[in-house]
Amino acid sequence: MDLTLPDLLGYVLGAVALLAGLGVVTRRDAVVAAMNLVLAFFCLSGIYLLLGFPFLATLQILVYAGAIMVLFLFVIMLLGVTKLARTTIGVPTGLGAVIALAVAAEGGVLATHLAAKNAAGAGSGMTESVEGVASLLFRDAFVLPFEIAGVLLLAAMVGVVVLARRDLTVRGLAEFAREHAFDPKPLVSSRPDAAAPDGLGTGSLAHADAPANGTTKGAANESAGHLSSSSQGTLAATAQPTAGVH
Amino acid sequence: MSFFGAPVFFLAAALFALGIYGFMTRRNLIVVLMSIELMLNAANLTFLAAARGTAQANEASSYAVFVILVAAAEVAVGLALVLAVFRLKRDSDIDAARDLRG
Repeated sequence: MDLTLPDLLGYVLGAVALLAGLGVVTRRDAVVAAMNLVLAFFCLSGIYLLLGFPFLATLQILVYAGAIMVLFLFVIMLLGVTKLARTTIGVPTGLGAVIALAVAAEGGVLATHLAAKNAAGAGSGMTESVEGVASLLFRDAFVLPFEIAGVLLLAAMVGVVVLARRDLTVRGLAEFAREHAFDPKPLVSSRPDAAAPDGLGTGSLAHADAPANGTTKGAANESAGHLSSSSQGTLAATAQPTAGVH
Repeated sequence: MSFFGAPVFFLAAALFALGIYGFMTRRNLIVVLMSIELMLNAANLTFLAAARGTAQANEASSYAVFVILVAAAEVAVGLALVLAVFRLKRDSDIDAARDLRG
């Protein structure tokens, strides 16, 4: 039994990752739990490096420890829920422990199986190459899944924008749909057309059908980039105190 | 014994079990999402450890890239949902979102 340096590093990193994972699920302070998760991510990145996957190690740091954890910490700070209630000790905790132990046991059985298989098949000595991964993702086997993943990310992004709106109620969503139906008015009237005489040039097309916008006409030639997308005349009136026509 | 034989798979199994434990016992929605991240990382570790030194190392990397990608999308949507629940209920406890309970 001889321990080489990578083995030793792997054991140390694995132990730290386990402790950090334990911290994630047991610590009561959400910020401390998030920091434990960052530590676990860094340790896993080191293990990826030792396994011979430098590209994945970089990606782990960039995406997980960078982007995802920033998102977590941002939401924790935004909500101000750093102190969490004590976990209820009862049926859920016992059940969770039992199921987790069962999964761990099954994982152990699988681990010995995989390790034996791995030792048999590891003869080729191939390691990850960025060229190989890029060729798989962009050219060979995973082109279509990669494009589908792009669509998935786009859908997630649109969903997040809708979900994170301030007025997420049924009525708010109906208003959102009404506001954002296609409407040529903002496109026409937001053109910086300062030389317009008495508001007719600045989007006479836009103001033709809205009687409430009559109050904004006087202010329209005063400042070029006024907020004419607001169809309420009151907003435009308060935004331009220099106009003084109201 | 070498760390890259059985022990790395045991580590992945233990991390996955920790994730399941946190998922089932914690009551805060944000910590539940963190537990899911832990499980996804354990799956990634298994992928990479099983492909170490074989001819499929690049394929394993690609799969891990997809796992990371799905995790990013899941976290973004999940945290937006947490924000929405918090806005409606003033609480990020998992019991706050029980309106659909029959």
